[in-house]
Amino acid sequence: MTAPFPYAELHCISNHSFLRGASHPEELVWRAHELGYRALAITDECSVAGVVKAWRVIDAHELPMTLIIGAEFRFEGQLVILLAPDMTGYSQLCQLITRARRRCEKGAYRVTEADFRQALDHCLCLWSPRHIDEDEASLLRFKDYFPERCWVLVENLLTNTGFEEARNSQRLGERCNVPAVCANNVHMHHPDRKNLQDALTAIRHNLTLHEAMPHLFPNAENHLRSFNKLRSLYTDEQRAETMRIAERCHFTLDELQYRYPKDVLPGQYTAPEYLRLLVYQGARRRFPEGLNEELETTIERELAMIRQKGYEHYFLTVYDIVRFARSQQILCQGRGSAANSVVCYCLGITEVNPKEASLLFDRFISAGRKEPPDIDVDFEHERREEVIQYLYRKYGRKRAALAATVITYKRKSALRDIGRVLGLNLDQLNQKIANYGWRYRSKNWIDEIIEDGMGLSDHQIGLFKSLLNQIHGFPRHLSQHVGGFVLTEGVVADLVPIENATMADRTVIQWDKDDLEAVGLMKVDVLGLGMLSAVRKTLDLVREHQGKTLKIQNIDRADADVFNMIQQADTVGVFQIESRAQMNMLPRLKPEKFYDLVVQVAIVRPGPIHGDMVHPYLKRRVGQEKVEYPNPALIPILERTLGVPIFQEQVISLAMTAADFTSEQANELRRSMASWKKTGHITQLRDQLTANMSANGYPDTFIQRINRQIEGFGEYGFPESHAAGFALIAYLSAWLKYHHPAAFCCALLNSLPMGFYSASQLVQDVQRHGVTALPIDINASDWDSSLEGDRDHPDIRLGFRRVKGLSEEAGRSLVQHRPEAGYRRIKELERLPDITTGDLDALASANAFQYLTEHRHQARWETSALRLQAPLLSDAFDETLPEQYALPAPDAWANLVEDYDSQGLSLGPHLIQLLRESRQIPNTHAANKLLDLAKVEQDRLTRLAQEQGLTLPDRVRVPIQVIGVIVNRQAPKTKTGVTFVTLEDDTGNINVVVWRRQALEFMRVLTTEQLVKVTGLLEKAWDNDVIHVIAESMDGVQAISSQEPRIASRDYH
Amino acid sequence: MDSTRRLWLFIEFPALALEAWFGPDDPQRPPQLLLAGNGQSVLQCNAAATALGVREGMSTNTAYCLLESVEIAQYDAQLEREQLGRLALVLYRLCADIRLCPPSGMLLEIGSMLRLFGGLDAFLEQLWAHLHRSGYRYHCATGHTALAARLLARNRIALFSQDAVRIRAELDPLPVDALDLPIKDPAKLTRMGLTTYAQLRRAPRAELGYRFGPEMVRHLNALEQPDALGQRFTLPPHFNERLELLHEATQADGLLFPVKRLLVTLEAYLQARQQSIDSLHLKLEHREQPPTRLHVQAVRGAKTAQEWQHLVGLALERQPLPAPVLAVLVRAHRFHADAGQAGDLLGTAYPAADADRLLSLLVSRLGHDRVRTPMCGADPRPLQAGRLDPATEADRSVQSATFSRHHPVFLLPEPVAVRPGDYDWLSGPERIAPGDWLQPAPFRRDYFRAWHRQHQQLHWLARHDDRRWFLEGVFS
Repeated sequence: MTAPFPYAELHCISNHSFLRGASHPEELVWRAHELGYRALAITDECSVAGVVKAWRVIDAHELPMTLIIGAEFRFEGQLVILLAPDMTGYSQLCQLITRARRRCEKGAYRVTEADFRQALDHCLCLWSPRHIDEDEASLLRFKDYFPERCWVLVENLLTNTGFEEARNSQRLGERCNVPAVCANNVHMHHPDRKNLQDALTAIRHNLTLHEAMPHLFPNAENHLRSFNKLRSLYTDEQRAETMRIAERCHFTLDELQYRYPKDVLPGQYTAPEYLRLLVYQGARRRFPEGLNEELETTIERELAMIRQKGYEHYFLTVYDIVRFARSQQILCQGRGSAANSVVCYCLGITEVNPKEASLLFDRFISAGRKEPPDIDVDFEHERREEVIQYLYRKYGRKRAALAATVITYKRKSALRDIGRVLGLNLDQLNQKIANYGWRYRSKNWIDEIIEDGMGLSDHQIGLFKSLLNQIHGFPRHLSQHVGGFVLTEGVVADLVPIENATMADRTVIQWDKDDLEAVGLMKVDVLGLGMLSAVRKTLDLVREHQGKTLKIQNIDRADADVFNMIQQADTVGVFQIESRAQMNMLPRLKPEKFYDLVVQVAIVRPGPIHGDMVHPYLKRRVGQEKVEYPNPALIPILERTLGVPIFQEQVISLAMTAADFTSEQANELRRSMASWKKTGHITQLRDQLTANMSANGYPDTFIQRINRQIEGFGEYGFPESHAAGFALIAYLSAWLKYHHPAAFCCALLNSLPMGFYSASQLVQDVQRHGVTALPIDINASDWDSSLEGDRDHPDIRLGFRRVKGLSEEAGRSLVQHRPEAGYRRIKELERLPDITTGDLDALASANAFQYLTEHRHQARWETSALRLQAPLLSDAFDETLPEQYALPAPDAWANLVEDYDSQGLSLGPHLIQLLRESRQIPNTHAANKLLDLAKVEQDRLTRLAQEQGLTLPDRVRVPIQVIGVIVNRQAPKTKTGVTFVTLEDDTGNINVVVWRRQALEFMRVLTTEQLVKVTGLLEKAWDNDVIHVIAESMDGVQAISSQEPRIASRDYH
Repeated sequence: MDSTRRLWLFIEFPALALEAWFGPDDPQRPPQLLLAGNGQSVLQCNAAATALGVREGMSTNTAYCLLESVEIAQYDAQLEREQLGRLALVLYRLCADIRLCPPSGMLLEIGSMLRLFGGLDAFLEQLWAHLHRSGYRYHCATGHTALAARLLARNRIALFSQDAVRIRAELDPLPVDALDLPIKDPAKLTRMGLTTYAQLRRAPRAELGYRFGPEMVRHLNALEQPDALGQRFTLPPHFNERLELLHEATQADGLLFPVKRLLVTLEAYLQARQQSIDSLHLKLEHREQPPTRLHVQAVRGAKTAQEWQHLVGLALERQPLPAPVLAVLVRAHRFHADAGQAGDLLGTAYPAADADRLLSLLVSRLGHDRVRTPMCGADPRPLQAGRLDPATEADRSVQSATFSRHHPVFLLPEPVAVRPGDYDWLSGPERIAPGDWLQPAPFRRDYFRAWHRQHQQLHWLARHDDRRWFLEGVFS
């Protein structure tokens, strides 16, 4: 569009002014471009959170438009906009935003006029009159603060005072000799966002739309306006002034010179020198037999690439963090595409030997762009905070800050907020949402809810749906990223503003990780991983109890026994491969070497599943299908996964090779995959991918599967580089489980909550592996669970930390003050420091006093008589104990209930065993008998087929009834709407599959009952030992006792 | 009263809060839930919900999974308390010594009434008749002590006896968490193996007191020794009852049933006071409109629900409803046989300022409908924002939006088409274009102030999207 005159819009907020702006920054940029604006200022309220997204559009598409960065500030009824004309002005703006935000709790800010008096000598100021008598004095002061850099804003939004105020503003400027400039208080790119803008206002005020009427704009004029309108409302001079201002603004985000912190360099070295030194030192350690030519070449090639991109400081910074962790004996592991390199292996950032995973460092995308590398480092979750504090200490609060995560509207939150502003009864809405049970109903469940029985007219229904679509993906607020740290040489707030997070002493920058990547700021992810804590604790336990010092580096990575255990899916507690879905896959994929584990970790994910890649891979592995490639060009990319794309990197490389994507397009694809649902930009890329691949002769079926896989990756994609890091930890945990089951289980118990299984399930599993678990004992337990007894086959002694309601201080005090011969009477505890009556009750409930009294009831009776507050008073009572009232002893059932209540597990007879013994449940097949049952049937069918020349079925099916406690309910997002239920009995676990029809029919039992009887078919695959029960009906089982133990279940995670 | 002749009867209304909100249950009702204050769990539910598997204490989300459609309300302690009071009122004719035991119980001392009624059976028959008529679910039992009666009733043991031995036999098997023990955590007792009342009462009481405090001892003693509970019920001095409707009533006949509920309560109240009234004020509350007020008179006075129902029904027939009704309020505060004094219609409820007196005289002379005051709402559409409300509107506390000096106060009831050529333009346009959510048909108008040369008046004109011009208001 040819513009009739040059124009710049200087007052515009995006939806990163949360619940005010009604358009994405990208939408604003595109619309301004369509209209023919020369420049657009994004001036979010006390924020620059939206500018990177706007900048990326302009940069990527080379739009002939200038992006001006600014911010608006509201205080004392006043509105002031600051624009950043250059780098210094930008830093000053960021510093002001930081100051204003740091004064207040998260999400708020405060400025006063005094803030504008100093440290803003580069910024441009647009001042808006309040149309009161004090305006003139106020304007003169701001003119003073911003000499030659101050303007009066003239904004006519066709309100009842619009023209009058515009005239007054102009005259005010003339009187004070301050030029006037026009703008339009833009809140949306197009007037058809008016409904949404109203809805956002209502949400912000927590009112319905009707109630919010006094707060709403009377019309939709605050949008990016046409030139006709601009001409009719503003003078030539006012419009021309916009360009004079715009022409003074030449700052772009390109100029942000990120400088890596130099703290990690010892004085005498340059960064390349120091890195080289460390790498070769590490290489000597890693390869004691010496470096061969290939290794040395690889190291040099990697160092050269690092040199070329100037990334030495990045690697040195990550090395420093890892070095600190190691010095504190904190286990850690780096992962990511840059992590899987020989350089990182030598630096000790990762334990994955790149040769094992056959990953090459220079499988970087976009060699041309200045994109920082990514390395995530996982630390023991319980000690991650020490690492974070180290970073704050080393770099200071001004040079270290967390990246943000923008929390956006999802379907349910959108439904609730829009429903509320439309005046719907929230209880009714919640009921509909829950009843529609998104797990079980159709994809269009939201439409169904809206159209069914909410009492809405057709018009309102249309409105509701339209608002839901528009608000989906809109930012709601900033939150702190899980662990992404930005570390800088200079002050962070010179590059991007910092604000307070919810956690005390945490600050967060206003950009998320996508923004950081786009702008080129370095981020190091400092993450917590429960399994690393468990691994370290296992190593400690083995060392303390058995005197063996194990080092991760020295653990055999090719232990056949361990892989055998993994293939049997005996992986309760093992990292990444312990879930139902993983356990189902293991006997089919049968990992036998490390790289198989890498595939295993990545394959049970939405990406490969949606892309229908899983079955072809499995078939090719067992030789049922030929390994072939749609095109020989794809062999180097796909041969390590038998011609089937599994990893995100493969799909990206495929896009470049098969669809001629440039590295920029491929990079865009990679970035879009993680957030494609938010912006919808993926559609264009996908269309191009499809068209290009088709033009290059790839079959349609293959193209469709790749597309579906990308869709799946959008939900949760797994890069190979991450899979390798995780596979290593998975292998290590499996190795420890196999060789040191007691220590491993003990360590897991001491690291909960983490992982897939409860303490009860972990203990039952280790008991089935022949380890004895000993109960909590006041005279034998420590705070942590520990090992006891035989050096090589120890027992596990449950620790006080298992006791609900017992404080750690109390637990540790007990241990610390325990006499050599042990406590002999409960009364002795009365005098211990840091113990309360609640603590003693908790211990009595957990039967910790079982060797001091007859039974736990008696123990409770005794502990409840203790007077801890006045130990002196106890001297006033006769020391010779009176005859204690004899309370009835608990039976097995009562003990079971109390065990679960007090510790979350029981070492006594299982609930199912008790019910069977008391004949309260019918005789059904136990979990540990099911495989045998299926095998017997399989043998019978085989014989029958041989005798009668029949074809064998694809699977064995046996009608069956099973009873168990529901310990897991999972409903992954699949087309079929299947629910996986795990039942536990006294002999093990039973995997039950509930299809949608049964789930709907037996909804009440499925969602509310703890103990159930399932009637259905036992199924076994013909060629492996994976079995499950397909439910045909489900019934709740009521035990006769009024009290049932509360056995925790993991629901719908 | 000799305590040995006392007989306590406890009535527990297990679904009082639910039924106070929705009205007494019936088989035709859809599932109904009453949620705890935080909305996370089900406090009470009706039979239809129970039949579908909902249980008290269940999480709300789980309950929702089980119910395709349901009526939901949040727990309202105030409403529950008021309803308990109304039920006490109904029973006041049977027994003067009523003690309210909130949230949902009441204790009657009936020993002194038995001779009057001719024995326990006869008394119980009367009691059940009243309770049945009220429609509220209940359990009751008698006891030699108030607490015993309460526990029996709450645990649905319908025992009507004064025999302490029989009563103890019924109480013995009760689990400790059904004994209303004054301890934070009854589970502490079960964890000692003391699971029933029998075990508890046999345990050394002093030891129990030492461990659980003197209140525990008093409570156990109160099960054995007669004592009273609760607060004595007394009649309130006036009648002022409000009922929120479950569903908006758009027609007058939709109001008859809820009004009847209020009138039944009124009848009980008047009976208790042994008086009648000759006028009743009804206030029908709407969502955005000011309330509709009705004043119903009975020349010779009336005191039964039926009589008032008839009069109110006639008044409603004549009264068109300007908007759907959300709630009904019935007030009666003069219990004299004669009608109110002539003069100030507004009675003693309003201050005797001159302006108010003038207003009262105007209203008496001309009628409520014909004395109005201009109000301004927040609706951006001028015709909807400006309105004239009855001047006796009592909600002066509601702040009206400020009148804009750019808009005329008096708007034409219907816009009139005009010719722009007849005008000199003074200001505008002011664009008013609210979101589509406000009305299905898009609304976008540009407003101008313009001087009509011929009529010499300042007009407020609207230009529609189709370029037609209309006169909407005149500046005074």
